[in-house]
Amino acid sequence: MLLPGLPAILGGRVAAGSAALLLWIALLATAFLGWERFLRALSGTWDERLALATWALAILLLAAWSRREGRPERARRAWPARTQWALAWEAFRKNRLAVAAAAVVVLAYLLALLTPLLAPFDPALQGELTTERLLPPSSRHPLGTDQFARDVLSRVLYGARISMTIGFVAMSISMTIGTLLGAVSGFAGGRVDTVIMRVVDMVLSFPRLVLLIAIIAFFEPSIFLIVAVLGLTQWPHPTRLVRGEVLSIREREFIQAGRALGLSGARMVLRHVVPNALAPVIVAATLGIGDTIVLEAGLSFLGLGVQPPTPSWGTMVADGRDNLFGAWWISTFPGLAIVLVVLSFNIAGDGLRDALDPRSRR
Amino acid sequence: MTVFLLRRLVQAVPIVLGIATLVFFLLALAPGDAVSFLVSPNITPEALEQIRRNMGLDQPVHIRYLRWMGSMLTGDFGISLTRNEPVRDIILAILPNTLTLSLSAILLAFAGGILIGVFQAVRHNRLADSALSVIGLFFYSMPSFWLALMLILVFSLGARNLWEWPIWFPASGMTSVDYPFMSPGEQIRDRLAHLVLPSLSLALVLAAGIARYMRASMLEVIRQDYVRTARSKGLSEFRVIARHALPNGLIPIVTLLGLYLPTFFSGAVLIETVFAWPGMGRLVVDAIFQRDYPVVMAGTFIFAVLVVIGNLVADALYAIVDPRIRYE
Amino acid sequence: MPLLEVTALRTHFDTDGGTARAVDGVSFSVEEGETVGIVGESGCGKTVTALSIMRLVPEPPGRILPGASIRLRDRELLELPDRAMREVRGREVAMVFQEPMTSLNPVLTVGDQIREALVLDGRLDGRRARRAAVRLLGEVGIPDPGTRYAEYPHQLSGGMRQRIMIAIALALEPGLLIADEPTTALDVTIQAQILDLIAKLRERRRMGVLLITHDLGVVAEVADRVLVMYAGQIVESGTVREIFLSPRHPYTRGLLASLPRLSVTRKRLSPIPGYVPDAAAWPDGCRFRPRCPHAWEKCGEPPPASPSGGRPGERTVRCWLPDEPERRGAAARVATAAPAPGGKPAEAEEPPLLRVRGLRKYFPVRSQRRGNRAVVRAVDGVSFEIRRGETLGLVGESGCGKSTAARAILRLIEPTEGAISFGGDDVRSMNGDALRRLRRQAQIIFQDPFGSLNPRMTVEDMLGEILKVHGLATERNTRRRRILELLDIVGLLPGHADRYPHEFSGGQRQRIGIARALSVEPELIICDEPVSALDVSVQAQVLNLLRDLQGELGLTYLFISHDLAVIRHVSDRVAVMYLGRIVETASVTRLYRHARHPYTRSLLSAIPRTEPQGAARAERILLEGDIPSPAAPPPGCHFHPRCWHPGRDQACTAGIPPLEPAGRRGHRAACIKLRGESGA
Repeated sequence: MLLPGLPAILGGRVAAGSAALLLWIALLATAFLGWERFLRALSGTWDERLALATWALAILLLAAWSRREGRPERARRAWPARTQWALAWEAFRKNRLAVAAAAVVVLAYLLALLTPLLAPFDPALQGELTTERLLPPSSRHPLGTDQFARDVLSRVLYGARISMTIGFVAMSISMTIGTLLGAVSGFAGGRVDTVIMRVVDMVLSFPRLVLLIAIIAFFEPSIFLIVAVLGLTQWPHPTRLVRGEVLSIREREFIQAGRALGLSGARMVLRHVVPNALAPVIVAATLGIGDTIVLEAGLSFLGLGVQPPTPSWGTMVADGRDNLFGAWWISTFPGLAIVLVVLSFNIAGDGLRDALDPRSRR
Repeated sequence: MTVFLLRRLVQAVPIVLGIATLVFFLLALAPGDAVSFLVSPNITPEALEQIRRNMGLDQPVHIRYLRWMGSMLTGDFGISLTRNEPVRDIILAILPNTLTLSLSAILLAFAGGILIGVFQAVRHNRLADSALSVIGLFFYSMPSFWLALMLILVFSLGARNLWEWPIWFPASGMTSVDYPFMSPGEQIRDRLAHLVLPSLSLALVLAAGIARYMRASMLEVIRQDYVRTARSKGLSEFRVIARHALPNGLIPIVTLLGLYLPTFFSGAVLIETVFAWPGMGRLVVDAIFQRDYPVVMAGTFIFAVLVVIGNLVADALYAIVDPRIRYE
Repeated sequence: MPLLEVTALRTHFDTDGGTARAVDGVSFSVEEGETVGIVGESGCGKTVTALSIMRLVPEPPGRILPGASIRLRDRELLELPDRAMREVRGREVAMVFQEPMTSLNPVLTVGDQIREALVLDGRLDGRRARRAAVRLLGEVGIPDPGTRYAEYPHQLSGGMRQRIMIAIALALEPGLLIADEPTTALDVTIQAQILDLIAKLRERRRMGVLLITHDLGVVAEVADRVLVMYAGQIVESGTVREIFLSPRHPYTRGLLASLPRLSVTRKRLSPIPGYVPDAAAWPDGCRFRPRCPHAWEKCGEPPPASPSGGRPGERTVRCWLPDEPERRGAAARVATAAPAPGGKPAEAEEPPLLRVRGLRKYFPVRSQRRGNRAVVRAVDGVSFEIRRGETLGLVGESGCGKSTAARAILRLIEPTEGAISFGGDDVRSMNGDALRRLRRQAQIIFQDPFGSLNPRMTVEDMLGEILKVHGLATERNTRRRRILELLDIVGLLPGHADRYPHEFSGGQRQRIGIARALSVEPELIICDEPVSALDVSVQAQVLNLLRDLQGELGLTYLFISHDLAVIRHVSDRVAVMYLGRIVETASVTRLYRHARHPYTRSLLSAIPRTEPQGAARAERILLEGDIPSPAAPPPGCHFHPRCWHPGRDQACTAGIPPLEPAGRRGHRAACIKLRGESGA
């Protein structure tokens, strides 16, 4: 109980167990070393409180997982025996690379949420410009400082919050819109379908970045605008995807059987079509978050995304351009952060696709 | 085939009209109008009103819409607010630059991606395949503008200043400062040298995506019955792959051309900014910061039309590689 | 010296679930000019045997175990280097595959695909190869070979494509042709053409043919010797006569007893119980033991394998039974089961349960030529009626519109025209509640046991949903009880209720489909090819189940199938469809004994018989050409371009022939040339 992960290690699942154990130690160490900050956070801003809540939740979840790990195999199953989801989970678990990638994604989100408790410096805090500017990586500034003498590590951590939140929220918006429109298009058919698909074709004809900047050009840039615009321009992809799925499921015989048995239209959609169309949507969403993060970084790189001084990975890469040769670390590390997170999303998404692919089993 | 292509051509017309409409509504929905961006202390309200009237902004929406559609279709995109030149002339002057960059990147990306994908499929599940998969995914996850900076850091700045490699590539512009004084041969070399890093950073990311696709497509094809038939005829393995599997594996890749074109142009916007490449992307980005809205709208429209044209090319290629389409 | 001699062949596959011993000790030989048939159900290792001979088994996961030998004339194929093996393929051994639709490369012209094999030999240059390819096309019966040469596979019909495959295989005049289910994907009249072609070519070229099929009829028709495979082994071998007239292995006997016969009506089948086990888990000892009705202690040991098995003139049986005379006698008695009571059709005076008049269903298709709106006349004026408790068999080849008709009757698709009355109510005007009532009274069972069940619902969820929606069992407990009862009726266990479809075999899934249809207690069930996706032994189980249910619950069936033997087995009356229309209808005995319509007669003659000699059979009528597209059917009588009737003339193209009386007891046929003739 005191050492989550130990039962798992003893039970033979060394990798998962040690990961949990390390995380547990890291979480406790943060609290121990930074107890003053924790106390301050109690009465601090809302994102500091959010960080505290996240910390507590992480501790609780780890403890709960550890308890469950102590019980016999059967009680540990997340799904009743042999559902398709359980099979997919089994298949996913066998793919070590994908599991590791998923762990990196979770860890990245955890880091992003805990940043106010972790970051060594205030990301906007400008150090002494004469002595602390453009310092190479050192023990005090593990990733160096930028031209305003700000700590790059702290900014990368805070940047994670912005980039990954935007990625997640924008993807949720577009997936919701896309799934709804795609389902309507696939079901209604006829003229509704034609109109929706024509609009999809049109929107897809725009290079997305060009469309984004054309929209943003006429508004004051803000995080909300970025999220809204990213979310509202991505929907054609999921729309196409879901429509295709719905069309193919509609032709399957179990749908005809349901109609022959007098099941109502709404029931057919909710109980028979949607659950079967869900798998590719989940995969697309996972892969799409990565794309959205890259896109947001591109916008910020051009200066049209998140506005300074709020740190965002794209802006930071742009900040480093002027001193690329003299201070390579300013651009390199935020870029690496993007690659790491997006790579993890892509590997996890690939793993999900393989695990959910019905062709791999009947 | 002609019927198929004609049908596609006819279908493209409403899409282009729709694109023009969409661009118009983007503008119409924006808060304030184009002129309000020009507000500065030394313009009187009367003068503003005069500019509005000159640009036809005092007209009701439907009149403005019809005018807009008319001008888009005739290629008259108005006058640039900052440069006082017709937008059409500006765009015509730099469109070739963007096409040079994009087309060389597309060529590189597809040639490289297809080769790598086929190689991986033939070596399925061996070490080379796995290694290439991981490397590919790494590049696939990379923002192209960051890759561009890293390439500049190594192959331009580092190569020239730090390690003093014999070969380094210029990191800015399309030509060197002394370009006008070079011999024709040197001029070509100079242009090519300037093209290397931009097209490479644009192509690498997408080549990784194409290789993934090609690999999956080839693996699918290699499982097919007709490949087994080809083997049972006693054909050599090379012939089985090159003549029977490859043409089939290429079919979905052609669709990818149409699908990736917008991504190429999006990437071009960023890459042009990084390399100070005088192209459409940089033009549009600069115009946004200068609030030069006719240029922004025209640029957006032209990009979308380029994608539509690219899709038509993809359709034609599709009909070439797949007889089932040709004889539909 | 035999042409091909296979000894102790073992081909295993490494899978997640363990080592699948797909082929596990197979020995046989093929002589020059001889046709050897391998029969068995799916998953018995037939195809893997063929691929092993060609050395086309994908490695990994497959591997041929050491100790095996495959000798072709005087060469050991398993020891040849890859390069030399390639020379063998095509030149000495050629192969024809099951799926003509996918076995040809879609982006190359058929001519190129044939020529490619010819040029390979090095003896022919491009132009000569082209001429040789055209000649081959002619030899395999492709009309107008010069034009067809430049066409792509998708422009040809399934039968044509299989002819192309055969032309490719024959290009370099191999001594041995391996045909893996060459006719399984084809319609019965086309199958007859292809089998005829293979037999003729074998004769002409003195080839050895190794014919692999699950269809006992095909083997009985064309093979000289037969190898029966079960669970990766050859369990019995002998001449066609021996195998079909005096089968010795219980599996062979079971297969034959599972088969509906054309000569016998409404006899209960004696299926083999259970299912073919998974290749990764063959049972110990005799592998057929768990399904064998005669198994006793001795069967725990593997029965003797004949070391030189499968030579010409040799009879081998992998079973302990022949050594035990007393038991053998008992076994022979069990094999003949008593006839079961058939359905009892109601009196003729009672109004029919279902009456269909002039049913039409047209589908619009986009035409290439502008303005020309084409329609596919999938169902084009179909009329019939079914009395309560009766089974009407609807038979026809693919694309004749039988499934479309079934769906239109239930309003799963909207009919274009026609009247449908069910129990006296007009089906076409129903909506809302009336339609829901119809859905409780008329049900449907589908062909595809994989696609017709929602993969994300357990059996209990699936059945429970229906019971709940129709208010048949609102309470949890009664619902559960009813579900278990339904499972019991269709022969499933209570433990199956919590399982998902992917955990069942094809036959079990079909039982679930039946339970689902029964859950609303319908009067009419439309069975749309319910057994065509199943192996012979499982097919018999399902047919028996359907028949028992009819007796117990007084069900009425509309039974749709392309298989004339199955139709004969289940039906009281039969309607034959061709291109959207019914061409003949009669009671089952009359139709099979005194068919009148030329199409029905050629259809019946095309079925391969499992009674190899003995039973007298009518002269086979080989139909020429393919079934026309329903988008552009021939004018007048749809059948006239393929018709062999001596009286065929211009009048046949003039108008649609009406379904007229053609004999006693409601026998009707749609052919104007029958008018003068006397019905038997």
